[in-house]
Amino acid sequence: MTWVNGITIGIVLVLIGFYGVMTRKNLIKIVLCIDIIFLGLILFFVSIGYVEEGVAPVLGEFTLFVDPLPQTLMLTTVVVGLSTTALALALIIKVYEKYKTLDVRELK
Amino acid sequence: MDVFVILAVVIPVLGSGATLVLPHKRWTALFCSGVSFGVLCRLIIEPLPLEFIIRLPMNPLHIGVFIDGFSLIFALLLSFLFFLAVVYSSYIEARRYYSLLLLDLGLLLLIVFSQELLIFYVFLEMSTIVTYFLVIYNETEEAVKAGFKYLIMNVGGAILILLAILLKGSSLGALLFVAGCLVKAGSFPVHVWLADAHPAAPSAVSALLSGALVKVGVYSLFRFAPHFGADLSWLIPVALTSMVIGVFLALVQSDVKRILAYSTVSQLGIVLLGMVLQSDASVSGVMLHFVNHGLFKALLFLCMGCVIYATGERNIHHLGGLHSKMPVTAAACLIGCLSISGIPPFNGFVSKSILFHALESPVMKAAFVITSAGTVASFTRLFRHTFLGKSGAKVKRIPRSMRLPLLLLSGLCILLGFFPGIVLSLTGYTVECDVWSSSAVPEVLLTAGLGIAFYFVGLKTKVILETPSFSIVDRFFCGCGKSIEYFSELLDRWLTQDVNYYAAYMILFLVFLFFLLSF
Amino acid sequence: MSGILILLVAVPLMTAFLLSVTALPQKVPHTTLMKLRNVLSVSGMGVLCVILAVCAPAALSGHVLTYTVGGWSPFLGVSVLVCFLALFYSIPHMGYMRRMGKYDAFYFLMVAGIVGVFLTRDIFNMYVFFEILSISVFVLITAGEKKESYKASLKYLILASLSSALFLFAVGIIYASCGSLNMDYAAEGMKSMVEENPELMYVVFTLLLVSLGVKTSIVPLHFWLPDAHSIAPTPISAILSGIILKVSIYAMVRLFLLCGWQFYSEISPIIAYTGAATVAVGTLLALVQKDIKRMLAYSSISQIGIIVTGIGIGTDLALQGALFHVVNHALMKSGLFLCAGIIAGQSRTREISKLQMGAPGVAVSFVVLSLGIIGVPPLNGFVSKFIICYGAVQAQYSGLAFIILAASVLSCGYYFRVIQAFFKKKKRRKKTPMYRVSRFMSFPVYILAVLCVILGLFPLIGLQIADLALKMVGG
Repeated sequence: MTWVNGITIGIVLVLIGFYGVMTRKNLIKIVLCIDIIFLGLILFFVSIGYVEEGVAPVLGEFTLFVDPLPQTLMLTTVVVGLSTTALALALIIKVYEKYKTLDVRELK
Repeated sequence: MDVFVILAVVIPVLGSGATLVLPHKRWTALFCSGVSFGVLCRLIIEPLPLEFIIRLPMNPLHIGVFIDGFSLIFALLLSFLFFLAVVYSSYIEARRYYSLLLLDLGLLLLIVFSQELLIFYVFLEMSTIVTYFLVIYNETEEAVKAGFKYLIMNVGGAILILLAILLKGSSLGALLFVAGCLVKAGSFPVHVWLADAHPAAPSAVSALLSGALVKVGVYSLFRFAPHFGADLSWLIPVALTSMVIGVFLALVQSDVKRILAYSTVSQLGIVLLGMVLQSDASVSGVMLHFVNHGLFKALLFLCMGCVIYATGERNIHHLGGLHSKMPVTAAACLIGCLSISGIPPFNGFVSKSILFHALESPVMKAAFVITSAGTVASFTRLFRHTFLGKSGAKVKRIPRSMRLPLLLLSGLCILLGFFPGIVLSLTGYTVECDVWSSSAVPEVLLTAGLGIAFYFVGLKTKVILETPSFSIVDRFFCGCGKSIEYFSELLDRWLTQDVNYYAAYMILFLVFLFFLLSF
Repeated sequence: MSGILILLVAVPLMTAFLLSVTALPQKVPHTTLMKLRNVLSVSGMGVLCVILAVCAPAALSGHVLTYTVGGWSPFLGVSVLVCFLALFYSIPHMGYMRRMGKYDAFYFLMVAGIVGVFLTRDIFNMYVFFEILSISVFVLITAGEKKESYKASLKYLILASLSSALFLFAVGIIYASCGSLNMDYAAEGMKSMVEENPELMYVVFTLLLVSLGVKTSIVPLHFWLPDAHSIAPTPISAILSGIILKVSIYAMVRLFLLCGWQFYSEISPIIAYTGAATVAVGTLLALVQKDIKRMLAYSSISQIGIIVTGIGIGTDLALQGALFHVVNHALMKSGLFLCAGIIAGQSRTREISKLQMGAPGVAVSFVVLSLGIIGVPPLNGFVSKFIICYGAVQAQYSGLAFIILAASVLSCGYYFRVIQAFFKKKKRRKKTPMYRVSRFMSFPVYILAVLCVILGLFPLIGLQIADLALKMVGG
């Protein structure tokens, strides 16, 4: 198994996202890093369902499919991540309105 | 027979609810506490010990009731004192006062009657909380602070008892239990709540605190210490210290009620000493002193309550010369002071002599003599500065309902002084009551003389005229509280950070846990 | 019969959508809209309670009702009851906000989320319902429209998203090694994973603990709680403190017990010590708070610590005590938050030293509820704390019992500081009279206080339910 596959890249993305949340001071960057974490997770999850020599689970002539379950779960996760990010950005707009700054130190 | 016990407890509890609702709150309260006392008197003629079990539905615990001579005496004392307190408190308006008093009576009776540790703890904790609300009844700044100190220390003591119940069987358990009971009884190192709670509470409540509630601590030691297999001999120095320090602190106070409070500390030291010795004579002396101290301390507190009600002054240096304006109070107070000093023919003399003869080592006897002398001194001071001398303050008239308890209590003091057998026969301990023998009188004269000498020495050296108002132990406890708060504030400031740090803590915790688990 | 279960989730969802529809019409006057909303929300809740009552006898007698969705948990009943009472409370309290319609809609979305988490039998489904719950809570926290509420909600959002990410990560690993996400099948998979590959199981466990720990607010992960709980509007704080923390405890217990008893006994000391640290930190920090709602929030942290300690001790008795304390704390803390809201509203300030006693009934309920949390008999808090301490001592964890009881004494300190503020004589300001407390607001408080006393006097009711719940989870 090569080292550069979905699972490890997914984990690397998650770690990058965590690093971002830990160090960035701008609120929007933090929210974007949370998004990166979710993307990494989705990649990780989908890659878990990978079966050697399988193809995308679309109805057709092939017999060996990649595991479809993680893909369906990840559709849901994409939507959830989307709504969370949307809500976060809405809250950031309100915070900016009231506090006039996007610095996370304001959030104490 | 079971019915009487249940009645004696249930009627006050129901009455506490009733006083909140019915129009004649005082009569309801009087009725309930009177009935309770009467029912308990009825129990005297039953064969003791009495044992039965009450079960509650849907509750794994059952209330085991166990009444023997000591419990019955204590219960009688409690209900009598509460009844007198209700009579005395005719000037108090709020409904909740009477309701709390009755509830407290019911709970204390349940404590006295309970057979098992856990049920005992349940009612003990409940009565601590109810008494807190009574202590802060006056709602002044001082009362609230005193109540808070009372609460924290007593809940701490109760929690120590709970810990002991959980750890029963180990020596740590025994230590914790004894410590918890000491806190409740207000003996030496943990007496600071007594000193503040008594002056701040309304007078009847102070009388009850000293006369009944602190005794619960000693009673619980007596009743339950064998369950833990506790070795009580290390309590002897504690008791001796309480005795001596209590009485000498009483000598230098300027607040009338604080004098009485510190003398409670010292009298309880005596009781503790007698309990620890556990010989027949000392235990009977203890039981008699329980009753006697309840009576004369309540008498003294109620007298002082009358004085405070009449003059509005609690400071002893501002009082004086009241004997002409308040003769009944003065006479009652005189009887109380003589009783507590152990002068014949009052009741204090009997119990103190019994205890004195039960003491073993010369150290104890010397400490006892010093304590008695100190008691004489402090009460001489109290009586002289309050009632004798020139009068200056204006005096309000005292209603008859406040004088009646005084008369009743003084009468009982005299009665029990002549016929201590009434109480002793109930306990089942018989002791050779040869206290009227000739060896007793010179001892009394010696003690009294020593006491008056102390008083005059104190007067000459002006020690007892100005109060140094500090107490090391008090500062220690307050200091503990303050240091906890300081530490918490540091913690709070240290923990408030940016979101970045929070995320970092999360990751660090994750990594830390993982390493912990893998190795 | 089991078809009804799907209704338990569907009814709140439908009510939520209907309520959001009422937010749209612009020409209809406010009052009719409000009345419409009141009717809708009360009937929605009512229908939910009725359905629960129908299902309850079967569940309580030990059957597990299943449908395609999943199993059952008796704690659902308590959560719905508290939600119902909080709804009544919010009727006058949130009068202004509710004109916009968003409060009610998200309230019911939150209820749907709570019910869903309890009912689901599939781990990923649990994640989805957690998200529904969290998103509605984020919105509801800001319902008060104060300046700080956005800040608090954003803080909660960031930390909760991180925790969801970790949860999902753990779910992924479970799926990778077990091949299924249904809890019954996953249980076998996880047990075999424990034997073959314990390292991986440790990873899963730590991820789950940290992620659910953030939602439950155990100690190094509690930072969002004081702000969120104190700045949210009062009925929302009540639900947050009372129920939502417990939802993640439910998830914790369920998921950890899936791994099998042997693994559980390996990891339980960690949970126990974390719980003890939580108790200590929560109590110490609560001592120095000046705002009553923040103090109550920190007190929640310490009570959750007690529950987590009970879970960590692992014996049957301690787990029973912990689950009973879940119910007790839900009742007591929600009652306390509602009381605090009423009292703070009447004193026009939230600072502890300036509070005044408004309605005496509410003050008495506050005393009763706080005595319950301190652990004074005969209230329910005493029973559950005692059982947990007893279990601790039996399992040789005496130090934990000591910490819990010391925390009780300290909590006595900070609760009575509030109570004594009621009793201090204060100069009444002449110009602001006390407004009368609306009956909608005080009744829920009275009901909760009475329930506490009843559960305290007859604790076997609660203990038997806890026992039942335990058997079902697999203890």
